[in-house]
Amino acid sequence: MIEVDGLTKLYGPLMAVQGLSFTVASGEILGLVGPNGAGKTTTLRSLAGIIQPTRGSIRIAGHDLAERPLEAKRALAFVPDEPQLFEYLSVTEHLQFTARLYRKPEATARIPMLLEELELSGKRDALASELSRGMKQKLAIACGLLHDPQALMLDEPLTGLDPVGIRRMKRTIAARAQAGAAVILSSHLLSLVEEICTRVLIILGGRMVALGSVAEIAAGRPELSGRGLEEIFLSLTGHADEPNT
Amino acid sequence: MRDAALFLFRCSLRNRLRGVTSRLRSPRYAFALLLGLGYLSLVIFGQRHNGPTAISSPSVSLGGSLFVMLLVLKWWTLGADRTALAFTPAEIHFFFPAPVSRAALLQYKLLRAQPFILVNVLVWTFLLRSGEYQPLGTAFRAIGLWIVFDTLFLHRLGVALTRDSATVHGIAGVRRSWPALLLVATMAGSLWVAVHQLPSGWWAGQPDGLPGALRRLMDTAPLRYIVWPFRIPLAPLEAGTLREWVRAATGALALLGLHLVWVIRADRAFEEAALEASARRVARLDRWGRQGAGASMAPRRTRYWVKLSPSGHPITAIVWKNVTRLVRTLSPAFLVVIAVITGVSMAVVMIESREDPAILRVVGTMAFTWVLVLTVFGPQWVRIDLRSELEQISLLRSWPLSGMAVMAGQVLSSALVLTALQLLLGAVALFGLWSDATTYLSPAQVAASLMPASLVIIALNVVAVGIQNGGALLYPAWVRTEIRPGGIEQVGQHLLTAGISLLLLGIAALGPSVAGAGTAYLLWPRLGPWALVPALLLAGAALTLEAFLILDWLGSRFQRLDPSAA
Repeated sequence: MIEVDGLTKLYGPLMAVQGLSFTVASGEILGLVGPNGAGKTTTLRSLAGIIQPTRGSIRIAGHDLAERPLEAKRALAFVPDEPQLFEYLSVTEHLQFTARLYRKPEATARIPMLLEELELSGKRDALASELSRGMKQKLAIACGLLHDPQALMLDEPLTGLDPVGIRRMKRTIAARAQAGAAVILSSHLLSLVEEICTRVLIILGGRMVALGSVAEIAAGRPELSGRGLEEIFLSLTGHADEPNT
Repeated sequence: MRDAALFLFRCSLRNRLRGVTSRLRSPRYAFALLLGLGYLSLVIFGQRHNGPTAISSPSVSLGGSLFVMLLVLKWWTLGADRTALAFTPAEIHFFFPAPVSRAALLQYKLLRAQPFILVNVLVWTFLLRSGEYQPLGTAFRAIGLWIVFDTLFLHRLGVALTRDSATVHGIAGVRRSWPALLLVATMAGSLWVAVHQLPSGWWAGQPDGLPGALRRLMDTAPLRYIVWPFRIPLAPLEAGTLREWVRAATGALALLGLHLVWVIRADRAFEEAALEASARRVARLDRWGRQGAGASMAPRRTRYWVKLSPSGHPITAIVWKNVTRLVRTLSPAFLVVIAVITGVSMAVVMIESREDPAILRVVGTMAFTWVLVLTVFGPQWVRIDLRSELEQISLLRSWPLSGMAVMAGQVLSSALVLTALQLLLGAVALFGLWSDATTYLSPAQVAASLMPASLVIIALNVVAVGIQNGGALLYPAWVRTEIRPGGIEQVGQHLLTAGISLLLLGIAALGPSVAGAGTAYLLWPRLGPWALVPALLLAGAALTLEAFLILDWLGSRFQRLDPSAA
């Protein structure tokens, strides 16, 4: 479970995120959407404990991220938009290394299954530098899933994947949520967000402009009734008059 | 194309100058520039007063010929010359799809190389000036050097084009390199014949040491005839009169002209090779920038390597990861270069000593010297720590580890590798200098001192690497993460960071040194040489305490570091 209360992040005079409050329950997938520079990555980085919020509190699986960072981090996984791998480690070694970092030796038993699930079995001994962009993305996600996190944060997880990979990844994310993980997924692919997310958080200029299921958001605004996420998003971010084609 | 290229150069130069000017508003960069200028002035004008000790023209010509010969043979045989075809990613993006002929692309490469060649000419002109056999002015030497560098550049490009063409036509392996291999075999045979024509001990009795010995060897038939073509571009540097210079320069320019015709007329489809070479160069420069010149290779799989056990402390996992990087990226060529430099240095010492050389003492002295060099400069060279992972700081921050644990893993990685090298060299030094050591200490005293001495070395390395990583945490922008044309300002930055690091290391070592020396002084009357053991132990303990405090501080800084600032 992820609980965020009044999250604010300032970069000097720039307000990157302002007073975000929301929760993501176990089994839920929250779609985090917003235009470029809206504060999505800052939000995810704050939730992952990579940067320290200026104000507000974050609790991961019941642990306050500021007060008990190690316990909170053991319960979470963060997969950045650009896979950050060690180019001199092989696929299997990345996973073994991750197991050691999270002090979960038993997780190494899951490596073959995870490699199979993410179609990396054939590349188990390949160095990260030898992998394609899509394969790197899969490996980064595999590292995130290995320790069975209770909170999973994915920044643009489908970038670089082929259609089969995208379908499998959607299934993997859904399966993790069904297994009890709280998932936050940031993406510009609104159709994906609409398809697999149970709720959507739309942010603009660091502020929350909508939170809820697509139907709930539309219900609160009669002019958006029956519209899809794309139209809702454009409307709420001030681009309602953007031509479709 | 020429207009476009000139426009590109003009704009790039203007924008770079603007960038430097705007950065100079920051006192930090201004100071770095002043420092860089001061250093270069020292190098350049310091040479003026070194006339009698400057390298003589014949030595330059001889050493240069040997160097050119080895370089050319390497290009033809090993084929590590495809990088000569490399373009920058932007050049590929704009020029390759554009209506630009291959000849124009090659001309562009030649034009683009000129600033680098001119800088080299400038540097070497000053480094080699004022030889006793050089009555001609600096300008003549500069022109001679320009011819040498241009010829080498064109030859490398020509080799790359020829070898690539052979690859495209399905000629590979030994078949592609047979002319060069034949030349190598001929040279080896000539060398053998020449050595056997000379009297025994010819190398030891030369009045001017190694250069004289080499010159005598190179002037002996049939080696003289084999080496002759490699002397042509360097001949102007040896000329004593204007007439000699004109004659030598005419020959060298003719050779340069032939190279130009060879390269420009080579209308071969080199785009694919250029793309591959460019990608490799970008990756290599990136690795070089992050991990040092020794790690210029793409990571390669290792069949036998230590496997990470599933359980254990995460710090050991970080150390394992970083050492794995070193093992998988260390270039064998780098190790060969180190071995060659060591071998040549030993040969020089032995020949220059002109007496029956005690090989063991020479080896021991060199090993000991390297232990000292590594103690001072090793922490700047071995960089398998946070300095090479600043781009992955987000990932490191997401790990469920305290800042101190992450930094301990990072710092220990470099420190342990350095310590292993120093202990290995120390063992060689001890073996070589055993008779000297046992003049003052008994074998038992030497053995007893080894353990505390090792403690001192490892703790000192942790402190030194910790200081370097502290710099990366405080001023990440000053840590080299990529190779870029930085100019004098960057020279100043490197000098400043190196100087501050050494100063801090000196300050950190002062307290433990005083404690150790004081202990030895107080206990020596009672214990004699045995006093070294408690002295070293105390110094080691003090350094260990400092190392712990530094790691603790690094950990807290790491916790507060904002990845977007790194």
